Amino acid sequence: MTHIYNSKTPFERAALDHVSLKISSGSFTSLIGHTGSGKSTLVQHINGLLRPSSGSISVGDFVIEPQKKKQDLKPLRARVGYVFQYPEHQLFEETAIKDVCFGPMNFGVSAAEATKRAEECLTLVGLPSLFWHRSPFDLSGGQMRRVAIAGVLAVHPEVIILDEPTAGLDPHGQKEIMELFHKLNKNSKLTIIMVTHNMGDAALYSDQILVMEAGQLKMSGAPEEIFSREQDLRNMGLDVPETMVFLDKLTDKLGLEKGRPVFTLSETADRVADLLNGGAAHV
Amino acid sequence: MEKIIEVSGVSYFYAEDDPWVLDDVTLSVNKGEWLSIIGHNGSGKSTLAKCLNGLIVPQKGSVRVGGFDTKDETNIWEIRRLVGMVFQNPDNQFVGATVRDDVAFGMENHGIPREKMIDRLAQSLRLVKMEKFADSEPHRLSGGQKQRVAIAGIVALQPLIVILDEATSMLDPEGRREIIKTMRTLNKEHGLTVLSITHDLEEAVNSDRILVMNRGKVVREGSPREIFKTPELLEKIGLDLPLAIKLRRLLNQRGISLQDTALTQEDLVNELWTLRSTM
Amino acid sequence: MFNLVIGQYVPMESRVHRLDPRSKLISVFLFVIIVFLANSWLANIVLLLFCYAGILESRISLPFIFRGLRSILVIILFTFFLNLFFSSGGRLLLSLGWIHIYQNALIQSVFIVIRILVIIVVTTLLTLTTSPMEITDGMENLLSPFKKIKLPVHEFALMMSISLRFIPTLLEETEKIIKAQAARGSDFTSGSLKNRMKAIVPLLVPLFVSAFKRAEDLAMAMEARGYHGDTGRTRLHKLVWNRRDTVMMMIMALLAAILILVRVSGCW
Repeated sequence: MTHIYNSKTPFERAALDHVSLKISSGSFTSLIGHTGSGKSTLVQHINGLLRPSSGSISVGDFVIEPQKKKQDLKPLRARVGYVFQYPEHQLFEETAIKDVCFGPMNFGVSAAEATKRAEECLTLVGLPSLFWHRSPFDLSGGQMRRVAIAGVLAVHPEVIILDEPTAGLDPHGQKEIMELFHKLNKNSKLTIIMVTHNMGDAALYSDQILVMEAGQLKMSGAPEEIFSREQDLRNMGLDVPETMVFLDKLTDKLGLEKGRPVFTLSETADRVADLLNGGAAHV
Repeated sequence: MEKIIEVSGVSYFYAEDDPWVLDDVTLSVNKGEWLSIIGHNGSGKSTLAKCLNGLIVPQKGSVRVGGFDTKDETNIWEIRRLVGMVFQNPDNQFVGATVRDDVAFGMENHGIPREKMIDRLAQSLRLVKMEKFADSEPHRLSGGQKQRVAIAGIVALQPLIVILDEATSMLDPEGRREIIKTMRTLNKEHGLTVLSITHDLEEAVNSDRILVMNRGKVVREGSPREIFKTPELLEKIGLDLPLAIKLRRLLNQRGISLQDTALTQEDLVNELWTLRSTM
Repeated sequence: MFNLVIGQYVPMESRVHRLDPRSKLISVFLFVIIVFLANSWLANIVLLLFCYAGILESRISLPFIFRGLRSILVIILFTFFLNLFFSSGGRLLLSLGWIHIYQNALIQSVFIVIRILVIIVVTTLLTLTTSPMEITDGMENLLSPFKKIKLPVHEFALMMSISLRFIPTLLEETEKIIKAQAARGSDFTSGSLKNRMKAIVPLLVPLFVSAFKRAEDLAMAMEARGYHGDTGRTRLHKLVWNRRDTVMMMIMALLAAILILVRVSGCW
């Protein structure tokens, strides 16, 4: 079990204010909230990029505390991968495959093993092998993003942090990237922590959603639980998934009760069919 | 209807051995309309946008803006005044040290007298609701605010048309809404023509006309209703569909027979409401 | 990030803020020259008083300026002791092993420190009271005679203002790339010098790539917004030379006259 426990963390300018939470291993957690609500600050504590001013963070048996100043963070970072927003900006090597090897080799993996991992990961992210030995800067934006993601996966982390992994991609690319992480979470039991503005993605893929506002953790729970508190979310200036927006409009128009939130299209269609039939029965 | 941009038979390639990025493109933009161009990455839509203000001049065909041909070097600066362009990355188009300086930048380039500049600066900042930030530095603004400053800088030049080149794709949902709302007001209340290159289909369904591009060609052109009547084509070239259309299909599969006219969520809600009252 | 007061602009209302950037630039330029006339106690006191008056007029708090000076304290002390130990002349004041301190050396060292101090205070005052935009506008205007001999004065000023505008953006970017590479196990802070040098490549390459991309984007955006050099360009910022600027020039002339007088009269 991987537990991440993070308590009492008033960071400078109080970017985070007494946040406590737990994330279980193998889960998919989404963090939602306004720009500047402290989502990115929070996740940067998880792999030690930022230090708490007070409180502590534990990842498995690794503990970060503000008192322990000189601490080797490498073992932690090998376990917790981090895909930054626009990760293609971190590419620097001559070839895509070399860039993917950079991470594993920093953590002491041999060159041969790193290359093997790189090939596996590039296949996994769906980059055709004819691009492997090209300069990453000759690839398209979407392909560069895949290389960068492979570079984080090749370290073989147990936990991976995603900071808006689909930002700036076209809808098709967005869907492919999300499907990839969904698969990694389900099949390889990779723990995923995702910062996102996309409520649809948060609702569809997460086991748990955390809602941040002004450095505080305001809500946490399963997607259904979070999105049934629609009014609270709206008060924070946050949206609900499109499917719910549509059903709200429909139930309003038909003068029927809102049901529990649904997120997939086919569930939504089922609900609409029910509403029509159920509604008809009353007439 | 008055045509402000006419593109006829335009083809363009970046280098001799590269394939055509634009392949015999013909289109026109009408005064006062909101035209959306959709297509996946690499379909040539951004290249097309750069042809419209003479940033690139096509090897074949002609582009006429407000009667001027972009091939004619003498008109190029007037064309660029008439065709304002908001680019994707909010940071990489902010030239001035402050909001005020940035809005003024375009006007300074076009030699607008200082007294007029001051008036227009105040006006255009009011239009995009950024008047409170006149002295702010760019790194203190959100992406959406920076894009609104870019719009103000264009509006101040009193252009014929504003091109949004994926101008909302790097913004958070709030920033995106701000930009679309600002542009809607400018389009509806001030008669500004808008050409939006976008992936956001919910935005596209609300436009007056849509152009679909694929592999450098215009493959479809028409009102949103006409375009989404045959969603299969859009899917085939890798585009997403608006929620109402995806849902409409699923409902048809569940035996709820709907017409193929519903486009927006409101349309579909109304149709379902009518359907229910006749059941 | 850095506790540097030098180069920061503090927007406020004061007589110094309201001065035309040109008169401030000329004053600072003159000041840096005439400082070297001061070789007596009286002259140095005049300089210090002038700076003090300048700070008072600018309404910027004295502690704020001192805090900024702290970061260059090392340089000042280093110069002080270097002079103190290695010049001679006058009475021997102190002799400790190989260190001999002479009276003249002590006086000269104090003068040098005052000189550095007042130059820094005056230039800091310039940047604290004048926005980067004003400084570049003022420079461009002052250097405009050089346009006649085809020096790219306008382009130079524009380049300067754009680089100032992008400093915060690039700092943010650097921080992000450092973090991204650290998350991939790169280590910038420990290890041998060779390892550290190696760790700089994954930082510099992305930074350059992104800077070039930005430059390309920016050039295109500028062209789209009608930028075509200096020809036919109007200005939002109008530099207005007021009476207070003429007064400032007179003050500088007087200061120079006083320093010259003190020097020739050889008093004190």
